[in-house]
Amino acid sequence: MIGVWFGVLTLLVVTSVMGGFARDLRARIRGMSAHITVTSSQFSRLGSMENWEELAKRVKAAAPDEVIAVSPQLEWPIMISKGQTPQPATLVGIIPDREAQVSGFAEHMLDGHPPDFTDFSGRKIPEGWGPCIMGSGILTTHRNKDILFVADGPGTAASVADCLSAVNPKDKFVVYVGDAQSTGDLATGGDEREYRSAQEWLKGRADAPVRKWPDLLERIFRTLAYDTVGETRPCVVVVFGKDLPPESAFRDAWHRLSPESRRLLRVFTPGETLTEPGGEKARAAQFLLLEPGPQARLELVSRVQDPYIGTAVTITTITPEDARDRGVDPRITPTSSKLAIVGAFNSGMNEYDSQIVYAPLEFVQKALRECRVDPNTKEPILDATGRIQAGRINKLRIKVVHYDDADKIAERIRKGLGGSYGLFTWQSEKAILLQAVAVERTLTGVIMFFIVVMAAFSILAILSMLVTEKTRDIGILRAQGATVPGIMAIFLSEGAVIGIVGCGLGLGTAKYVLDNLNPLADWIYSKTGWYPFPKNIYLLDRIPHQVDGPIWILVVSATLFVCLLAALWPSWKAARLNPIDALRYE
Amino acid sequence: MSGFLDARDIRRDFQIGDRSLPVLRGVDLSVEPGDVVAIVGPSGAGKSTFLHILGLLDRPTSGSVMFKGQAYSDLGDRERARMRNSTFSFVFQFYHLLPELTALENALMPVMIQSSILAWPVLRGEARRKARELLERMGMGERLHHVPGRLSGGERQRVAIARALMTSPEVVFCDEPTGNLDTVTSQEIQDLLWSLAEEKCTTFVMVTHEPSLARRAHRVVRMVDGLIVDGEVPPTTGAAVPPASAPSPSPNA
Repeated sequence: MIGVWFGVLTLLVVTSVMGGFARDLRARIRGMSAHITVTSSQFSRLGSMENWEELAKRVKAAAPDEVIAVSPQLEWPIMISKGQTPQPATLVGIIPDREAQVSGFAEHMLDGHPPDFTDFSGRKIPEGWGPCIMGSGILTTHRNKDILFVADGPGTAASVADCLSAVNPKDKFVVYVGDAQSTGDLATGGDEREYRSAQEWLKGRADAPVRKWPDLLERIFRTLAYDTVGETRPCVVVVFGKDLPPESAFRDAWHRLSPESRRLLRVFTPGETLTEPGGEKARAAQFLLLEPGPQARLELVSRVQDPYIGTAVTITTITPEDARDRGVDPRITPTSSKLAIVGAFNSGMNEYDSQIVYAPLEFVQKALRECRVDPNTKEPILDATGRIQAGRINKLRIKVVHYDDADKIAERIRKGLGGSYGLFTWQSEKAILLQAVAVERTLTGVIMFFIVVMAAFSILAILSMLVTEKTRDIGILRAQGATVPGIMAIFLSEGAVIGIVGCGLGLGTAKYVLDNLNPLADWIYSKTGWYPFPKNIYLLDRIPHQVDGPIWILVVSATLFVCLLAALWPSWKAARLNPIDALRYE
Repeated sequence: MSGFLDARDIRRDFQIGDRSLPVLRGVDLSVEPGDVVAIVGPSGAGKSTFLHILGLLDRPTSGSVMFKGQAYSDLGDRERARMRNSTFSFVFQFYHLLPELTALENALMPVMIQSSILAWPVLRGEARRKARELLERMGMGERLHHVPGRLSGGERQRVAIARALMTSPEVVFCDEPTGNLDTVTSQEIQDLLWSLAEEKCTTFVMVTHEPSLARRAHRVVRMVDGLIVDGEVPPTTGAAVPPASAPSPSPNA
């Protein structure tokens, strides 16, 4: 019975988690890739589709009931660098309004930045530069920071919590709120679990008492100097409070530390770098004073959390030139442009976050010369308003109503467009990954089912022993006229009871485990130090699960069936006993 | 041939290893309704085996048994089970009560087996009343709710007899019903069986070593080495049937 219980429990939990994982993964994939993508089948040119507005109309006309939005893209591989080693990326020219309708990139924008190319920090983008939105994984992946949040006074805890939500959970951080007699008042972070517990902890600190700056800070510094903040990575100190003393007061507090402590914890204000004599390895800390409130988060993000926003990157690429326009053989020309980073997105899919750089479509068309070009100067020909002419794209992305029917809709669009277009659906783009997840789920289900089969064998063993033990009683019943089916029914119902009770317990505990999946994972972490669901591997913050009715019914009915099957043989053996043989031996 | 219970040329071989051991070597017997037949003979003569074959607990290797003109071998398993339940019943030397059940529940067992799950709640009251009556009749009124482990041998046999009579069978087979009891208790059980046989006019076929029991039978049949060697026509029944005469090989063969 316990075997059946655990069999059903593991089977249900595992299939539900796998199902939830597959569902979330599909949602993520859908979120970033379009449901259907139209490309040109002519690969001789980079921008192979001209006049995309016309094409978009034809797409819409091909399936008017299904197509919700259409977004043009010009996508091209680039090298991106910020004064250091370049790294490969993909430059994607988009029209933000349209792209936001088709893919989920607007929802994935970091730090509340609007999904367009305006620079919220108000900086002017220099002439000839283009704005861009970068995947959070480009250039910044290895830039984990240590952040010290210090807050005191009413309302500050909420601000810290707000800011914390902008912090990459991989960043190491220390939160200090209110009165501290010991390090027990410090919440620290460095992984998902600590990150979450810090947020919980902050909720309980809403009414933390006010202390006197900057003595408080000095005390914290002293504590931290021996604590875990940073080792070689830059340290950021974020101070929250109303009517804060000037920054110099904080620097003084820092200066009062012992040289050893200072070497460990260096403080500087933006724009100023303090150097510790003789301390090559001394770390520099950034120092940020914030008023609690809604602005705090934005400010933190723009100045601390994402120090690349507002800075420039250089992109370099090679463009195959159009033979037709030049009248000569296609050649390859290196091109380079400057981009100012205005925002970043984090889709949770590493493949996109470490790869995609969004820029305005027209800028990309101009940079890659995917428009009407002066044959002699190779410069784009601009019209009277300074716009390029006959811009080309290489991808038209489509959002549809019924994304699970993307294949059928793609076929309709293909017919409607005619000609030489290639159509891909979101499933076909990620077919291997989706198939792998589906196969994994099925395989795990099959493997887990063997637990149930093992349990069934124990039922078989138990019932066989019971039959042997009860041989005489079976004989007595048979002598009194019990029929073969009657005897079988007794032992079958024994198997059925084991199966039903086992399934019931399994169902109940599975429901409980699934409802408390993440607390249980945290508990395992707290007891063993092993986190069962590392976020960085699985791309998802929480362990997902999906209670799939038909699969649960399948599991339960299959288990009951196997239990009955296992009970069948001993029952049959019992019923076939010759009554007199059963009675003969005392 | 009486047409009530007839055994014809019953043979039964037991396989021991690759050897075939004949236990019954062609037994014929006719029993009239209301007969009380005692089968006597030395141990190993095949008395119990014969009784089991008559009572549908075992099948003969060859030969046939007829009950009211119907051959057992024509019956399906379900029909045999039904007959074991309602038409025949058994009283064993070792009582064969279910150890987990009380005297009353043991006595109820045949009726429970007989009825379907759905019908049981309806029949239950009546069956309990009858079982209680039978047990009280046998002087077990005080011990209805004792499990067999807390009953003496005689009391257990009384419960077994009550169980045998619950379905008002036409034939009761007793396999050494007093074989395991002391003389006094044995006498009480014998008296009980006798009064029941007379009162209900039930046919009894019993295997016994007890001379006192055999003496009271209408008819005594002697078996030696798997054959009936001596059949005695009971004087009380007017059946014009000669005693089952066996081809008589030497009894000591």
